[in-house]
Amino acid sequence: MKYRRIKTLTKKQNRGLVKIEFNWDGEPPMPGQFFMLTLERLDIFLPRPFSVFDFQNGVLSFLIKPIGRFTNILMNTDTFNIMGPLGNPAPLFKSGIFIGGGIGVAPLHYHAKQTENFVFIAGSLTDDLRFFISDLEKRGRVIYTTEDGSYGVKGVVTEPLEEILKEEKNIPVFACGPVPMLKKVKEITGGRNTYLYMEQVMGCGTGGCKGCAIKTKDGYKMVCSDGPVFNAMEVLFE
Amino acid sequence: MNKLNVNIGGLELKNPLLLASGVWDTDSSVEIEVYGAVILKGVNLNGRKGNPPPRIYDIQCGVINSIGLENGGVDELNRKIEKIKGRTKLIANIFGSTVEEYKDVAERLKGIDGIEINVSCPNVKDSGIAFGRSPEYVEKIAALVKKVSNVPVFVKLTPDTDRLEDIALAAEKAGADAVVCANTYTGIVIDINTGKPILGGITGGVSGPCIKPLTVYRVWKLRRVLKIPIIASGGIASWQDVIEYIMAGADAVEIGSIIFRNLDAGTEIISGLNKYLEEKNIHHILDIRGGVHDG
Ligand SMILES: Cc1cc2nc3c(=O)[nH]c(=O)nc-3n(C[C@H](O)[C@H](O)[C@H](O)COP(=O)(O)OP(=O)(O)OC[C@H]3O[C@@H](n4cnc5c(N)ncnc54)[C@H](O)[C@@H]3O)c2cc1C
Ligand SMILES: Cc1cc2nc3c(=O)[nH]c(=O)nc-3n(C[C@H](O)[C@H](O)[C@H](O)COP(=O)(O)O)c2cc1C
Ligand code: FES
Repeated sequence: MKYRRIKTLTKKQNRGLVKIEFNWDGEPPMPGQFFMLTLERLDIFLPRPFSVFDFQNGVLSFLIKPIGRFTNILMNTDTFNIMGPLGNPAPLFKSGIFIGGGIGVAPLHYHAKQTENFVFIAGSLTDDLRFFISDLEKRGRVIYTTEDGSYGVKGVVTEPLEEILKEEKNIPVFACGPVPMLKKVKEITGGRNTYLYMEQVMGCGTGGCKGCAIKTKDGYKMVCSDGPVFNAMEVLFE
Repeated sequence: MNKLNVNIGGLELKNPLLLASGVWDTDSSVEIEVYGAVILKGVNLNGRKGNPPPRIYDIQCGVINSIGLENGGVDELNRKIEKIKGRTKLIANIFGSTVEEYKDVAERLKGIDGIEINVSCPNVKDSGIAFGRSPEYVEKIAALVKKVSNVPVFVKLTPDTDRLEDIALAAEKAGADAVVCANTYTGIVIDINTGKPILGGITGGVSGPCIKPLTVYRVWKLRRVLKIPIIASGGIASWQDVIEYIMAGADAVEIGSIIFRNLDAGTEIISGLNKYLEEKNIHHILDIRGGVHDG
């Protein structure tokens, strides 16, 4: 596993989110896996992890929310050092309920595309996600929630989940998003048949530094080498 | 002819580039063959669960970490060593919460080519750095480990002390075969929204390019008082940094944090060093050692 220096193919910014694409002839990624991205400049020192948003016809894409030093300069950067795919593939099933809070939809998009029957709940503060994930609408059922009511159902992303679980039992639930949302999802499903995409600040991304620990009922586990997708039953929230 | 081979306190290395402890694991995809030797993750007798997250953070031109020496104990390490034996020289990095624990770990280790005594980790409260700030303890631990080991023994110093020379001399007096200068510098990062420390372990150890001049200074200072070899560790990102350390007085160097962003850093540094020596018509890398002592 090595970093490769690659020019971006396209970059698109819409409603504050950035989608970047690369030609990728390396190992094809599986849903759940991620890449580390870094720049030549040393003043952003640690590489940053990003999930696979899509991979088709040799084009690898990431959907990124600018929140800090690295993610705010994506639009002005053309060449990245990238390494992956890293982490373990998510378990794949024929059916699934996907629940993504904000930028949490990124890994679920690629995962849902490889799931025959799915319901995808995409929640955000405002109307931004549909500009990137509308291709899912012809493959399965997509529900949008916005907290400001600007598109789809007004409210939070976990509300439709409770409704859907009344009809659809024993279907695996995959969730990715902020910790309070993940906690709520675990509460709603009781953790049964539920998988959480976890996040942690990373150093190496390859299991070497023991930097990306999260708490589980079996002690600390590493997001990069034990995850990033964990059974909800094992994850402990503070 | 080999311009890079060195002998560090009896340990023959094909080149003076070592991979530092804690930034890689035996099952992470690092090409360890590239290095003269690799240093395994810090180990104590029965393991440690490590510090609460978050454990690592980008500080611009460097890293702060509070891993807290998470490890599975010496028996688990022996099993890991078994899997990578023969690929390059292997050095164990050992710590303990008592003087005896250092000895017990050293006695139990199997299949290693050297021992690096870690008396300098800033991330654990009950061991490490407290010993490392005391010349008396360093002497005791180094002598004890030396007595029970049949491989070269190095002492990895903390840079966070105003008694650096005394401590290094204590290691030398105890029979240490080299010192490693140095571990990380204690630091803290604060979340400006909450006013609370960002790291789960509150304070952490600072590493990466931002610490380089601080550690070059310490190597330069130690070279003036020590007879035994010095292995430098702190902020190396390129072959130029290695040359700088050797000119300050180092006999070998370790790279750490840089491999987070460049897994090929070792290969690139070795080829840069070879090219430099070729171009400058220098016979051997250590011919440039210590050239700036009184500069
Ligand atoms: C497995 C995995 C997959 C991921 N996938 C994606 C993905 O697909 N898309 C995506 O957008 N993100 C993803 N992330 C998250 C992404 O890695 C982070 O958003 C990114 O690393 C942030 O880098 P940055 O340099 O922009 O932010 P940084 O500058 O590192 O800052 C991070 C946050 O901390 C804040 N901060 C920094 N310093 C301080 C301080 N002193 N006090 C208070 N706050 C501070 C910043 O404002 C910011 O909110 C993923 C993470 C993981 C672990
Ligand atoms: C994540 C991390 C873990 C580390 N773990 C250890 C350790 O277990 N034992 C040790 O002696 N040093 C440890 N160190 C210190 C490094 O081995 C090295 O001495 C230090 O980082 C300075 O070198 P660098 O600037 O090249 O990283 C660790 C450093 C980092 C960044
Ligand atoms: S980032 Fe280094 S172990 Fe996960």
